[in-house]
Amino acid sequence: MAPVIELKNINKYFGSHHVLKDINLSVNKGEVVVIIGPSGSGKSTLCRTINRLESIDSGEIRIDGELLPEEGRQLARLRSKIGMVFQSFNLFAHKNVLNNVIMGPVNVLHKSKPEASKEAIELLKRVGVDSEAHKRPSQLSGGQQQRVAIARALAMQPDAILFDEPTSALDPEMINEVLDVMTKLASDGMTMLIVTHEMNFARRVASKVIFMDDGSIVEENVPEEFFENPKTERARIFLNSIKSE
Amino acid sequence: MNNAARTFRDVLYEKPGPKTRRLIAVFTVISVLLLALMLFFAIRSFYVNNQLNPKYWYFFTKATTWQFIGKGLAGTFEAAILAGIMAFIMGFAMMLGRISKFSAVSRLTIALIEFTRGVPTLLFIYFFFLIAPTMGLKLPSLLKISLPVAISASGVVAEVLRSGVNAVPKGQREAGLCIGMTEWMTFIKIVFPQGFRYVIPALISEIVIVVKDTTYAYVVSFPDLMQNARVLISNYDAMLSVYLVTAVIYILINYILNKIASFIEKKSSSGGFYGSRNRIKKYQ
Repeated sequence: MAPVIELKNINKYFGSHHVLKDINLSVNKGEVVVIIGPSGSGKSTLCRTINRLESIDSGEIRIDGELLPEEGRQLARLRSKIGMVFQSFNLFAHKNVLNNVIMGPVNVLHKSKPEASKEAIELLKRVGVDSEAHKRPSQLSGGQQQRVAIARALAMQPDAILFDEPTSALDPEMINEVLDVMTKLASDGMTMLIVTHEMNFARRVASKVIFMDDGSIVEENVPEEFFENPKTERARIFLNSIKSE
Repeated sequence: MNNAARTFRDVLYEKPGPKTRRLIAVFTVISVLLLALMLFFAIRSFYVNNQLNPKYWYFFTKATTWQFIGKGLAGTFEAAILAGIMAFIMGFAMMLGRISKFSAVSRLTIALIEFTRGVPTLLFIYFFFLIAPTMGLKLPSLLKISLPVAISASGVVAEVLRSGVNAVPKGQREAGLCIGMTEWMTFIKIVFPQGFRYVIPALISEIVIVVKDTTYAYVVSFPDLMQNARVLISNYDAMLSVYLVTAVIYILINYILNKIASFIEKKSSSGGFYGSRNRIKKYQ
């Protein structure tokens, strides 16, 4: 079976700056791949290229074996199979929580509103914000907003979900409520690719850890090995630098 | 939330202290006195110039006068609403052209926007009134007034809408794309509704201009409020009184427009347009 997400020889430049250097990566069904690395290493950019929020200069991206096109309906269709959770939540500000969640199912999957709403409430229950369904995003805490964003992604019944530093914009006491939801998702078998700085979380949920530095994948390892005994010098330096904090 | 009770003064200035409160009191008294003085002189000069003479005012007690004014008002509404709708449609189209990724389209639209913004409304009216008929384009008088007024407003509407759309955070579009919506669907469902809300006050100002521009209706003999006022003036030989009443009516119209605008703004930011708590309960 083809991997859910497959990146081959991805290169990307911002002007003369080479931000992604020959990236090869695949995420299989049910895997939780965690990308860590210093800021500016290209992890967020990599995450955003997977559904073409960032264009690439060379290489190919496959979703379920299908080549991701540069534009058009086909691109939209493949995007709908890959959920995305942003650092800044990006809930639709003019819609209440319920309408945020049913936006995709109604407009893309063409479900009826009652059907989509029923499912949405179930999802909101799963992430623990069903009691806020009538509220506007601006009336919620950051942790609640991020959990709604996760429910919004889940509502599309995606094959995988990308998380781009989902807890980086949260107050410390709200980080765990989001990580708990993500842990539950992982144990339910959701395929996930997560860019994060939460090392304990990474260690707990990852089936594979990817360490990036300066635009390249420096090390790919299982979490126990990576955190206890990294293969590369650069990973060791990075892990030491965050341990000393 | 008691945000609703906050006024502009609360937003712009800190809470006044004792000295400021005294100053505010003084200035309030002074401005009330000044207003009273101005009113006094206005009425006095009316009196001195014999403008309070009943012959200039008696016809306002006749129902037919108000019927006639009402007809004019209906004409103004008709022309302004039609012009407003056309200006919005043209403005929306030009906004789309302006933000198009094809630079040829975008540049052409910029030229069009500058043209419509730069040419005085009256020139557009003369075009449709005097020049277009010689080229075989004969419009009904309602269109002769509302089309040029709409064209003249459309460029501003386009720029206002664009500024609203540009102010919507980039992440909103990205989130729309990520749930599989196409660029166009994302624009219509996510970006535009939010941008539109940002610019409601500016759009209302433009509608006020449209309403005022419809007073050019007399040029094309369309019976709007201003045109009917002119008829009253010549019938009763009473200029000042009629113009005064007309001005008050226009002020009222635009005052109401502003009230509607703030109502819409409040409504749209409180969530009233969308799924209410009760509707959601059904699914819980």
